[in-house]
Amino acid sequence: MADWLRGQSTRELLTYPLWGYPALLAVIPEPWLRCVQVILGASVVATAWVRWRDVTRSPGALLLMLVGAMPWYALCAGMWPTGISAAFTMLGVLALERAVTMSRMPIALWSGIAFGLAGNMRSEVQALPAVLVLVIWIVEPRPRDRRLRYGLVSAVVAFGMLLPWAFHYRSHTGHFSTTASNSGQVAFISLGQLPNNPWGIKHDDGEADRALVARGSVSNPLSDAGDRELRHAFFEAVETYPGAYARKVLHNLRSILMGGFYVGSLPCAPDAALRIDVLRERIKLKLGLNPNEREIADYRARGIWDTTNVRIQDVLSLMWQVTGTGVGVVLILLALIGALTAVRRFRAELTLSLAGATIAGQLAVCALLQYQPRHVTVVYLPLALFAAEALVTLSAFVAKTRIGLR
Amino acid sequence: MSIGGRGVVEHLVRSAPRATWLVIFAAALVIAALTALCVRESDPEAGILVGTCDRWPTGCEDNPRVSS
Repeated sequence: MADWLRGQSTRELLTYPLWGYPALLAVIPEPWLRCVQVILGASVVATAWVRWRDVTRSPGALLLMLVGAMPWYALCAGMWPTGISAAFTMLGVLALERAVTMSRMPIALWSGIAFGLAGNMRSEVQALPAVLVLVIWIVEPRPRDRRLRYGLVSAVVAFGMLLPWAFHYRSHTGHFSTTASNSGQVAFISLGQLPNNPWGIKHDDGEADRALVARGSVSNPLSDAGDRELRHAFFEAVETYPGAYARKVLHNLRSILMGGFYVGSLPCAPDAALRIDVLRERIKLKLGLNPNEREIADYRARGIWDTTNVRIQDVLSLMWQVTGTGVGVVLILLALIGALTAVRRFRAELTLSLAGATIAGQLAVCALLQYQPRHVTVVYLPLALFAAEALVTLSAFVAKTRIGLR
Repeated sequence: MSIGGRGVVEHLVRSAPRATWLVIFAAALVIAALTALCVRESDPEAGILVGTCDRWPTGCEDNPRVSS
């Protein structure tokens, strides 16, 4: 897509991926783009601190979690749209809260622009501005029409920024769509996350192709036509076995709690990736944490499953990832406790309700469709806000228990 | 956190937004830059998921990890 935007190549599929990130790749050399992403990630951390420092009851813990947000930085440093889209989304949320609480229309406009930029890179954030408008409408105690208009302006600007893509999509397919044409594929193959599912689907991109062929279609799964057929197949499959779909959603929720954060990996020898993956799959299999059965079968067939020797660098690299996962699990659990105990403050503190809605929206997408650790890392910053709240609640609980024991 | 640490936090809570933004930004940028230098992208499967991107070439040409 980046080459097509530069005018350097022709391309048949023009509705996937969304053009926001390829546009950046087309105009900014990769090392510079990585720098931009890292600077943006750090600036979002600083902005979050300035907006949240008066709201949190545990500024020290929040400060540590924000400044030391290594999963967030690792996500932002990656050459993919996920990190930069998450950074713009968080800027949009922070600006929206400021616009509403300070009654500043220009900031609402900036919020919409940030959401619009994010929505041109990742489809799943496109609905967030509308969700946040709903949250403001629900929690805002002051005259709703005045406060709500900042949210509405932000959402309208964000939607307006998606229109060029929608017209681009229409010019190539005859249909309007603000999203890329891969949602059907993602939804369909995600039904194969659990082994022995009643649909007999494997969690593999090739499965979408096979499903379309079986239905007598010759469409590319990522084309508009393939997208429509696969979305139809997804809803049909869910209607046929709603219980199996519910199991998959529960499985994703469990993975969200158990999977921690994306942290990247430490540099090691080029051939180490395979050894690390074998080691990782062995551990995942032992712990029952969603082992990749396709890869395990492949490693067994290649004779490397039992024979691969692991080196110290491999172990260090894996330790890095395990630490990221472990710390992530603790932080996510704390955030859950923090969010539950802060629910009563949601009406009084718009910051908490917007942060809570941002987390809920993202995790709902992960649960209903497809889970990956990086999709949870997208909401690291609001999770840190609630985790800090939980620390206050837990320390108060411990102090109370001690007094009770005396 | 030590008393000194508490003092720093209190200062960062009370100081002017622009000043504290710059301090936090500088600190965050140092750690973010170190993270970016020391950590390389792993396949998104680096956790406990089942990856998807490597199996359909047309979805991943801008970056092998851009998918879904």
